Amino acid sequence: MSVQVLTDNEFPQTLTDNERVVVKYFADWCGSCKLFAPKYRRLSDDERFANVTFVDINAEENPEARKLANVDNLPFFATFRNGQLVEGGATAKEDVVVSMLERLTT
Amino acid sequence: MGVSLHNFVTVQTTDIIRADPTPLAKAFWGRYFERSVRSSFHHVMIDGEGGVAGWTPNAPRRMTEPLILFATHHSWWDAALSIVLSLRTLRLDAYGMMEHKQLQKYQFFRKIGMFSVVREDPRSALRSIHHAADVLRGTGKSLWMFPQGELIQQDVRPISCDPGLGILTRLLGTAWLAPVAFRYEMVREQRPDVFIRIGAPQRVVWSADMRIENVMREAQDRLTALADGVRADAMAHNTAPYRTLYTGARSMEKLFDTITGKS
Repeated sequence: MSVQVLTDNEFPQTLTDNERVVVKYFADWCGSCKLFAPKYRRLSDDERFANVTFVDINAEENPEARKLANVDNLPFFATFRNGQLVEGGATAKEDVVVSMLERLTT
Repeated sequence: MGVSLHNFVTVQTTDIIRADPTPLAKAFWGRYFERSVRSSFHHVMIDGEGGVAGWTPNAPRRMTEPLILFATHHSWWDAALSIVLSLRTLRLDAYGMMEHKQLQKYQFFRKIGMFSVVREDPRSALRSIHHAADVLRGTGKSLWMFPQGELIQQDVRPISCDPGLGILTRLLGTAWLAPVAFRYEMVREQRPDVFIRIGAPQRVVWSADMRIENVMREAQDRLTALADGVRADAMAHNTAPYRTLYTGARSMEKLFDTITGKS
């Protein structure tokens, strides 16, 4: 599955249409976010997380989506189930994101 | 610079790259530079930060007039430390000037409050100072300046200041000026110690009889006295007046002593 790049306009509908969603919040100036991009794409192709919708959101340009997860640093990951925030946190470690995804899918 | 501008009318000015600070970028880069500082020094120590408490977000009575922090400049670390002080330690609503070419290359600095200056182009430099005045006037914001204008070894005297500080003070009408001395000492540890002292902010209200040269001279005297005091502390390793902001990794021999049980 690919990673969808969304804005404030599309994000609410995506949360409504998909049971499980993970979001990577990024900014253009965030080097750690760029470094994480290939890992995030790889996770989106991982069969264990086939029922999760992977989303990328520019945190600086989309304040509404940012507020939904209380983003306070980058890269920031948030998981949503049935439109509700499950958890969120700033990290650049793949195993932390994998753990979040495992909790989302169990 | 003000008077001699007439000699530079043909100089091409460069558009200012303006600051565009965001809370998210400040959080991100504040932590980034903090990690960098923590891993590079033995101790980072500060004295005098109480003097600028009125410009911090939790102050009971927040200052509504701008603060100009003018600092010694002999290391790349001066700018990095000013960023850490602003974003992590003091949490000032702070701005800074950065060389135009560098800011063009590293645009993310705009996001933490940097705007550009071309020091070699007096007209452009003056425009940057006007921009600084527009940003600061009538606010409780802060601005970092390195009025020596270039990297100069920390024991070179006299410490000279360029006219920008005086011109900015005149443009603002009212401002608080605080000198800041950074000093780096590598003596007893594998990594250097950093001594930082912030001098008491002094309120300057511009009047018709004031001259830019006098503001510059006073700034030079204050910065020199402050830097001399910090040098004396460093030479005597007198750390008593300072609060330790960061303690970095232990030196190799201390680590060895711990492992071998000799500490």
